[in-house]
Amino acid sequence: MEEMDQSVISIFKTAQHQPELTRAMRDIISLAGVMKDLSTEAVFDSPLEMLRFLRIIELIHEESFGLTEQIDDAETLYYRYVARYEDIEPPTKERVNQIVTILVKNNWVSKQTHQIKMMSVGKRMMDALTRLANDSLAYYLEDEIGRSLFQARRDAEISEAYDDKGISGGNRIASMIRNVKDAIEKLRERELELLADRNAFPQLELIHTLMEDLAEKLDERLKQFETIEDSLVLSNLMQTGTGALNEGTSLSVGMINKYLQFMNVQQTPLQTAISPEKVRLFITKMFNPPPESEIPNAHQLFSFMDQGQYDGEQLDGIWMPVKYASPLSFAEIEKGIDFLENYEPAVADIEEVIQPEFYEENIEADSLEDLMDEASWLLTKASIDTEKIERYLEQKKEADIEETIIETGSASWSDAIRQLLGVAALEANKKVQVQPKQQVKEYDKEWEWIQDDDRKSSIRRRT
Amino acid sequence: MTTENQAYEEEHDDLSLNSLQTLRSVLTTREEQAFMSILFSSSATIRANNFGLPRKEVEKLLGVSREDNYFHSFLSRVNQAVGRYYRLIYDEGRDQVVVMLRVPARSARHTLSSEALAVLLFMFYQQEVLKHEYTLLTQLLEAFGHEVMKGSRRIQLAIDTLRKIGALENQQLSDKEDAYRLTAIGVHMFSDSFLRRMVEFSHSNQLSKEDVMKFFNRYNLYEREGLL
Repeated sequence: MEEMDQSVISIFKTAQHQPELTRAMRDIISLAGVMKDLSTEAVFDSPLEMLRFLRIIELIHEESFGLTEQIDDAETLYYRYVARYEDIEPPTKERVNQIVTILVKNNWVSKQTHQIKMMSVGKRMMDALTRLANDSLAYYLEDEIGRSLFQARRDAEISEAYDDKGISGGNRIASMIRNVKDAIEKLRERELELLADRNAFPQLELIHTLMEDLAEKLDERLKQFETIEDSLVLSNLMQTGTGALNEGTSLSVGMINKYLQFMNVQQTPLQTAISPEKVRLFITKMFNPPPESEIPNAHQLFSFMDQGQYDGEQLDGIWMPVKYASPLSFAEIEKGIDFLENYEPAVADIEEVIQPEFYEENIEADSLEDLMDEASWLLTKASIDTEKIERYLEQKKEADIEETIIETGSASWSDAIRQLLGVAALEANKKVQVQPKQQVKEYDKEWEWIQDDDRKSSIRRRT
Repeated sequence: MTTENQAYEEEHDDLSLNSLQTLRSVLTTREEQAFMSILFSSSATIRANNFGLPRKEVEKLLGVSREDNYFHSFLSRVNQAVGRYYRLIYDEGRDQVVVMLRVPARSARHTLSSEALAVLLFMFYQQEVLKHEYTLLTQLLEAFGHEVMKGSRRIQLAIDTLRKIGALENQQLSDKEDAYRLTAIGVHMFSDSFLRRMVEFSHSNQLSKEDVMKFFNRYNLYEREGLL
């Protein structure tokens, strides 16, 4: 346990069998229990029900601090609710009672005869819930770009709050960088839109402050990790992080610069002399202006014109060569319809796939065995060449075994083995009959029988 | 019909669309038909050089042949009537009559890439202000190419798109260097407001529209084409 205190506290790193972990998980299960009891269809359809629930438990919460007087029962709670919150349709007494029952069931509060009291699980859960709801609220109050930035800043703050106490806040730094990147992407997408908006300046400024703020925070966070030994993984993160922030800051600075330049131009007195040199230089810079410069590219210039500060410049964007397809003749329409209806793609000849044909055949049960034999013989024939022996025996009707082997093959021993296998196969499938014989001829050959008597047999075809 | 039209006019403050109605008073039926033919001048296939109708074709539609005054009066009268939306221009170099459509600032962002616009602007400046006959590719590369990743490739890409919409064409030079010349389309593409904003930005100073137009030699442009 000593060691545990040293390193960060994280549920993902704690041994599974630790009783503390089980209890922590039980807390969350209790939360799930309450949520499940609450999540009737009515609540799902009306999110405000959840707010009412939070308000009720906040009332109990406050009591537990001693901020308000003690709560006798659900009815007290109901009246306190009505007095406290402006709600056109406050929960009914039954509803309040129901909620209290749910809370009691899940051990968030204890109900005695004359008192409702919050228990410690309840307090912790309430804290977590309020934080969650407030976070969400703050998130939704921001606009699209702001949301990502807000999330990034929260990540930084959570990381700060947790890391310092040795509690893991998860992969906060990574999440933070991700969010900054998202924000930058959105900023890029909406850049033209923002420039076209005459009143976008405060928003641009806001984004920029957020970005700067974040840069500072991230820097701080990253510095802490610099000292950690295993910062190898982090060095990668740090690089992308600083990269993203630099990009974001220069982008937002660039937008502000362009905007300011545009506004400034509006306030200068009319000038008559035009310097070709300045124009030329400006055009060359327009091709690919650095993000933080005050020089807009052509699209950004169009966005500024979209503000319509000068009369008619909004409409006066650019002239494009144009072409209208002339009306189609009736014959052409006919042709088109014909094409659509009768179109056959020109492709290579289709190769016909030959489908095996199956047909039904009824056979007697007796002949089934024969058929099976026949099939197994065909299988054997496929692996052993018996062709020659069969042909030979067809001629001779009966032959000595040695004669057959040598006549159908050769005098070499490899052929002997092959032909002997063939004879054996024929015998096994009852195609031939092997019989002992007294008188047999002897042939010249490379090999010998192990038992000389074996050669004294003849083979006869069965019919 | 008339009552309907009146009601419509009363509803809308901006009666500019009605200028299309005035076409009837400035153009003869035959001229109207010619304008429409120019609008439908070709099929929908986009090729670099088939924008618009040749002058000869237009004159045939108008029922005249080689009557400069009448031809230019036709152009100017059409432009007076529909100038807010269309502009009829005569490309002398290619002997073509082309219709150009006005694109408001917001949609203009989606027409061409900002790089293509910068290339066009550079050529416009060289050929309309400095009166160069053409712009060399090396000049473009020098102006934009350095400090940019894959600069020459991106410039080539921009030139390609510009050529596809007929804003510029290759100039045949005796030596083998690549050179481009703006066509009438390219000359007319930038709106006065855009040029004014651009020059204002470059000077960080407000400028009057007249000065900017003078700078870009846009005043005698219409005269040259017989529009005034």
